[in-house]
Amino acid sequence: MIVWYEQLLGATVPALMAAAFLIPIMTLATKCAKLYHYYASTIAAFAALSTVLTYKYVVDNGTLVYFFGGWFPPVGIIYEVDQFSALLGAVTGTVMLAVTVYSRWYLGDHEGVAWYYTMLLGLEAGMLGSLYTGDVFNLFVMLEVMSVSAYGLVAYHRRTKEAVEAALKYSLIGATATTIYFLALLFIYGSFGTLNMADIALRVSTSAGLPIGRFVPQNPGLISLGASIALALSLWVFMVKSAVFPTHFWLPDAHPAAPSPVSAALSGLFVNVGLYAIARFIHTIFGGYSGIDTTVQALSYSLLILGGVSAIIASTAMITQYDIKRLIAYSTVMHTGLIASAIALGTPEGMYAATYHITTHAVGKALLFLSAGALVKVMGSRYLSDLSGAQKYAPVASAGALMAAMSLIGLPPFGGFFSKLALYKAFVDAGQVWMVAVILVSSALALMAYMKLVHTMFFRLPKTEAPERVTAPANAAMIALIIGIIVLGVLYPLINQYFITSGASVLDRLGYISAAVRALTSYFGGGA
Amino acid sequence: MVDPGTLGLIFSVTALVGGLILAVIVAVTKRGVRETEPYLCGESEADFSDSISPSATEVQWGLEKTLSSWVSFVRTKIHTGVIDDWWSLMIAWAAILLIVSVVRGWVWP
Repeated sequence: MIVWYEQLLGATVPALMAAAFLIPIMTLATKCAKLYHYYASTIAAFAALSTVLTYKYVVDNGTLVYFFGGWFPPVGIIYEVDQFSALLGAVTGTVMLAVTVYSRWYLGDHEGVAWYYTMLLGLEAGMLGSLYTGDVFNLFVMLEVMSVSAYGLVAYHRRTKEAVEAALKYSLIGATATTIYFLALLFIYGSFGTLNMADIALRVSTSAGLPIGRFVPQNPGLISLGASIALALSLWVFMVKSAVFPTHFWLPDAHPAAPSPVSAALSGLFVNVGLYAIARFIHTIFGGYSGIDTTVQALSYSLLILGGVSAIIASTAMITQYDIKRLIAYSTVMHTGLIASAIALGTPEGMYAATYHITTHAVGKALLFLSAGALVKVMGSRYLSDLSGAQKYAPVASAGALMAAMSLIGLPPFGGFFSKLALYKAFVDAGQVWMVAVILVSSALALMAYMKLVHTMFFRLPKTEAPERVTAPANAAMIALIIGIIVLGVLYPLINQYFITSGASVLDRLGYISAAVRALTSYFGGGA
Repeated sequence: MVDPGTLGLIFSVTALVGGLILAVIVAVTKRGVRETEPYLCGESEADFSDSISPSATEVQWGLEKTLSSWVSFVRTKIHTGVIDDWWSLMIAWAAILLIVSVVRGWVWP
C-alpha cells in the first residue's frame, strides 16, 4: 500500500515532464488541435488525481518520502511531502485541471496549441516538483523548469509588443533570481556539505559543535556566516518568485500579457511556490539554527514589514488600473504580501492563516482570471470601459468574477473572508496590530478597484453586440472554482483543521527530519 | 466566548439567506429601470449618460483625486515600467539583505 503511494508520488512529476516533451514529437504526426486539448486535459486530470491522493495519504499516514532511482540521501534526490507541501500540491493539481479544461475554449484552433500545452504541462511539473522535493538543488532545477515554461507562456502572443516586452523583462529578472539561488546553494553546500533539506535541518539542529562544513570544517563562525548569507540570498530569490515588494515589478507586466488561463496559473499557483520556499527555508530548514537565530529574526521582521508595504502599494496601484487583467495582477501582489507577512510571524497561527489564505487566494484568483479572460474574449477588449453589460453575454464569467472579487476582498460567505479572519487573528495574537490596519486599508482600496469592474459588468448597458459565447467546458471550469471558493468558506468548521495541521507541519522541524530518517531506516530494512 | 470563525459563518449564512430573500423581493417588484434622476455633485466626472446611476468609476475617481500625491508617487517613482528603475530597488534590497546577513551571521570571536 505504502509502496503504491510512493510510486505515484515519484511518478507524477516525471510523467508530467514526459507528457510535455511528447507533444512536440506528436506534432510531427498531426496538427489536430483537438487532440492536444484532450491529451493535455487527460494528463492534467491524472496530475489532479495523483496530487489529491498524495494529500489524502499524507493526512492519514504522515509525511511521505520517496527516493528517486533508489538513491538514498544525501547523495540521491528525495521527495519529502509533508501536509503543507501536499496541500499546496493538491491545490496546484486541481486548479491546473480547471485551467487546462478552460484552455480548450480559450485557445480554440490557435496555431500554437501544441507548444502552449508543452509549456503548460512543463509549468505544472515544475511547480509540483518544487513543492514536493526534499533537496535544495532539485528545487533549483524545478524552479528553472517552471520559470522557463512561464517565460514561454508569457510570450505566447509573440506578435504583440506587450507580450514580448513583458516576457523579456520577466525572463531577465527570473533568470537573475535563479542564478542567485545557485550562488546561495554554493554557500549551503560549503557550510553543511549536503543539499538534502532534512539533512541540512538535522545538521543545523545539532550545530553546537559544527564540525560539519566541507570547506570550512573547523570554523563555526564561518559556517554561520555562510548559512546566513545563503538564507539572505534565498529569501531575495523567493521574494522575486512570489512577487513581494520590492521584487514584484515583473508580475503586473507578465501576468496580463499571458493568455488568461496562464495568468490564472501564474497568479493563483506560481507565486505559491515562492511563498512555500520562504516558509520551508526560514522555518523548517534554518529555523532551529542557533548560529543564525538573529539573522532569521531580522529577515523575518523585514519580510513582515515588506509584506505590508507590498499590500498597500499594490492596492493603491489597483485603483488606478483600467485594464482588467492588470488590475487583477496587482491584486496578486497585494495578497502575496499579506501571506508573506503571515509566514514571517513564525507562529502556528501565522502559518495556519498563511496556508488558508494561500488556498483561498489560489482558487479565487484563478477564478477571477478565468472569468476575466472569458469577458475579455467575449467583449473583445481588456479595458473596463469596454466590458459594459458583459453579464448579458457571459453570465457565468460575470458571476464568477463577482464572487471571486468578493472572496478576495474578504466578504462572507466566501473562503477569502475566513482566511482573512485567520490573518487578523494571527497578527493580533503576535502583537502586530498594525498589520490589521494594513489588511483593512488594502482591502478597502481593492474594494474600490473591484467596484469598477462589478459596476461595468452589471450596471452598464452593453455598447456592442458580442459575437462569441463561452462554451460549456469553460463554464464548467469556472463553476467548479465558484463551488471551490464557496466550499472553502461555508465548510470552514469542517476543513479548518486541515489548514491548522498543514501550517503547523512547516514549523515541525523534528518531524521533517525524523520522517526522512525513518524512511532511510526502512529502506535499508531497519523497519519504520 | 464565540469562535470568530463560527460567528463569521453564522453571519455568512444569515447574510446569504437575507440576500436571497432580498433578491426574490427585488425580482418580484422589479420595474425595469430606476426612475430616480442621476445626482450631479457639480464636479467634472466621467460620462455616465449610458449608465443607470453614477458608477463606481466616478466614486473611484474621487478617491484617486483625494490620494493623488500618493498615487502619483506609486506610479512615477515605483511602478515606472522601466526595468532599470526596478533593478535599482531590487538590488538595493538585495544589498540590505546581504549586509544584514553578514552583520548578524558572523559569530564574532
